Amino acid sequence: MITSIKHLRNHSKMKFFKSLIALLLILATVAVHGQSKTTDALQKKYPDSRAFFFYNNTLRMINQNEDKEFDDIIKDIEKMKFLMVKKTQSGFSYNEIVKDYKGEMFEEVMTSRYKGKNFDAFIKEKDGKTNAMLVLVNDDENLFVLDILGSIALDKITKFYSEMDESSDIGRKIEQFIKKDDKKEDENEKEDDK
Amino acid sequence: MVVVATGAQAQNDAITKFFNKYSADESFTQVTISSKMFGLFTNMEADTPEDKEVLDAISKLKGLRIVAKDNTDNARALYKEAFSLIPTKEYEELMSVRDKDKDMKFMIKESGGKISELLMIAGGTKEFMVMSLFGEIDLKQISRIGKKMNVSGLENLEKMNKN
Repeated sequence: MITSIKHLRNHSKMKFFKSLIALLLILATVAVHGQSKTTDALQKKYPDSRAFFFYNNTLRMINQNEDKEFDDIIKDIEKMKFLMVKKTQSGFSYNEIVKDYKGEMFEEVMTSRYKGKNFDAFIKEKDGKTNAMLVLVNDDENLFVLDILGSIALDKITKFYSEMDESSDIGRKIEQFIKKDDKKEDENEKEDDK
Repeated sequence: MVVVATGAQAQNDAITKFFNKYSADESFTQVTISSKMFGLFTNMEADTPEDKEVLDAISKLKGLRIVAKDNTDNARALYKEAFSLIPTKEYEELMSVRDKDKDMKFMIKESGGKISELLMIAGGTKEFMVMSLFGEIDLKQISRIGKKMNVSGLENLEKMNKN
């Protein structure tokens, strides 16, 4: 009797976890579809590009030094896709990419060029509320795409810009985080090999 | 009325042409901010009454354009050229700052008793910059806006507020 109750409990647990996984998969699919089609197309067109997804929680994890300003920058970001495209493939046209984003109703709110690097910001609104932001950083070798569901606090945008630059704090934080993850993966692989 | 409107249009074209000329040159730094971006500041919460005043002032701006060049040997020539290309007669000189190695001129355009454009032209031995800020401009708040948006040079307007 006790065994069958335990079995039933385990069965219910399994069922619960299966339902939870199914729900998470549905949510993940919905969220992925929430990102820009142009970003997805870019990722497919440039298979050697690197893409990273960050949810608000993961962004908070990056902020290990508990930098309040960084927390303020990311507080309204629901999800962020960071895509790094190496412009080695022929036929790369930055203007065409911008045109495609504009076709998705992204509106240009800021354009700039500094030390040969373009920094352009776009927003998408629904019912007068910003629900998506896009930041493109384009230089001779790479295109960086920050495709954001949600928004970045506007008074932090210049700070965000300066941090996206060579001495980028955010860039460094993401880099450290990625390296840390790569290191963990390497260590896990070594453990598995043993 | 028609003459005034045509004049204003011609002036806008001239300043637009000026910015477009340098924006196309990749050796120049350029920044353009749209009215939409400034409008978004109305949705932000201010921590202090002073911040609220700055946000209100920012939300009334319609655009910002900057062209600049650093570490250039022809900064002086660019500064002179700016005065020949920009229809400066259409503006009223507000303030001049002469530093040991830098000249700055602040000019304004008034329309309907309100300042509709602030133009800053700066030239040093190695640096050159032109900034046009347009919309409904509250001069008392400009130096604070400059600080908030990291636009160097605008802090000089603090001197004018103190006078």
